[in-house]
Amino acid sequence: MASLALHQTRSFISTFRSSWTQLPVAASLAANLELRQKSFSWALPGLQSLLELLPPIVLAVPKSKISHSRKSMRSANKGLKDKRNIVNCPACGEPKLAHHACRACYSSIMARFKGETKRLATGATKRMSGGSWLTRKAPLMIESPKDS
Amino acid sequence: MKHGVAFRKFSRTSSHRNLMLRNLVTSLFEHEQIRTTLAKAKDTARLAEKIITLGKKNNETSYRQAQAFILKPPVLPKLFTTFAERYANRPGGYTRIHRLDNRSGDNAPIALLELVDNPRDFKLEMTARAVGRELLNEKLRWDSPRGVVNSGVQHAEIAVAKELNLSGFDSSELRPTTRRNLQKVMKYRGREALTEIGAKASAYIETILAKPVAEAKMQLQADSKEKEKARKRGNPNFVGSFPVLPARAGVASPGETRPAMRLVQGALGRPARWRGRQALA
Repeated sequence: MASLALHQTRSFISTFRSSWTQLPVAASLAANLELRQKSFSWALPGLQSLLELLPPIVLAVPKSKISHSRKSMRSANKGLKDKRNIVNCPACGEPKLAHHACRACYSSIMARFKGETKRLATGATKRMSGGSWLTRKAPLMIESPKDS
Repeated sequence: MKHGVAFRKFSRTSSHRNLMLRNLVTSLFEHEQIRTTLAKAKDTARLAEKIITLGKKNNETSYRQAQAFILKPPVLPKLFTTFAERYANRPGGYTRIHRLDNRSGDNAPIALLELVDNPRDFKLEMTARAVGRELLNEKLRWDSPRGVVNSGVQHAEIAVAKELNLSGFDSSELRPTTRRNLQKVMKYRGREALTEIGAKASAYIETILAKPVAEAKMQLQADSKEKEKARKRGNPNFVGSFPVLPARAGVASPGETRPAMRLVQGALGRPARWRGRQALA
C-alpha cells in the first residue's frame, strides 16, 4: 500500500511537472491545498483526491490478456543460440571451444603438475624410507587411466 | 564513453584495485602460473611485464621501484636473477594468457596467466601433445592401426627438429598451426628443449595408443562395481544400464579428418543424399 502510494507520488510529480501548463486546475488546487494546511505534517497533501482529477489515459494498463500465440511470437528470438565455435583439441581430440584451452588436457596437465609437487614434497620429507615403487619417481609423462 | 581509457576499474576503489593487482603480480611471480578471471589476467599481465622490465634493468633505481611494488620480499631476488636471465634476449611479451572455460558459479570467463618459458609452461605441454598426436596421425595414413601399435612412432625428436625450419606453406607431418606454435615455443630456448619436446611427444603417443585398453578396463571395473553394489543390496540378477561410464560425443579418434562441427552433430550432421540439398549446419 505504501509502495503503491510512493509510485503514485512519483508518477503524479512527473505528470504534474510535464503538464504544468495543460492543467492549471490541478496547479491551483495544489496551491490551495498547501495554503489550507496550517499544521505541519510529513504526509503529502491529499494525493488520492488529486489522482482522481488526472485523466485515466495517464495510468497505462494492458487491455486484455496477451494470447498464447502472441506471447510465443515475442519469445521467438529469445531461444539459446547454438555455439558454432566448436573444434577438436589437437592433443586429445575431444571437442572444445575455439581459442580456449581444452578442458580435459588442462585438468590432466595440472593434475600431473600437482602430483609432481606432492611427490617432491613427500620425497624431501621421507627420503630414505625404503618405500615401495609408488614413492620412487614415476616416468615422465604417462597419464594414469583416470585422467582420460 | 570509454574511448582510449587504458585500465579497468574492477568495481573497486583505487587503493583496493592497486593492491589487488600488486597481489596478483606477486602471486604470478611466486608461482609462475595463476588462474584468475580474464579481465584481471589482462591487467595483471600488463603490470607484470613492466615489473619484469625493471628486473632486466638491474640497477639501484629499478631495484627500489620493484621493491616498492612487490608485496612479498622473497619474490624480489627471483625477479632480478631468474627472470632477468630467462628473458634476457626476449624483447617484451613475458606473459601469456590462455582462456579456460567459464566458472560454474557465476559464468565468469577464467584465464590461465603464466610466465613464458617457465618450468611448467602450459603452451609447451600442449604443443608437445599436439606434435605427438599429429605424428601419430601421419603414421596412421601409411600404416594400419595394429601396425602402428606394434611399431610405435620413433624418432619424434628428429621430426620435430625438421619442423623448426619450415615456413607456413611447406607441407610436412604437422599442421601449420602446430608448426607455428612449435617454432614460437622453441624460439628463445636451447637445444635441450628439443629433446624435452621429443620425449613428451613420444610419451604422449604411447598414452594415446594405450587409451582404448585403459578405457575398456575402466569400463569393466565400473560395471563390476555396479554389480557388486547391487549384489549387496540383495539383487543378484542385476542388469542395470550399460555402459556405466558416460559416452563422450564428438571425440575425434587418431587419424580423424572430419571437422569438429560435423562430429559433434553426429547423425544429424550427415549431408543429405540429394546433391542439391545443403548439409544441416
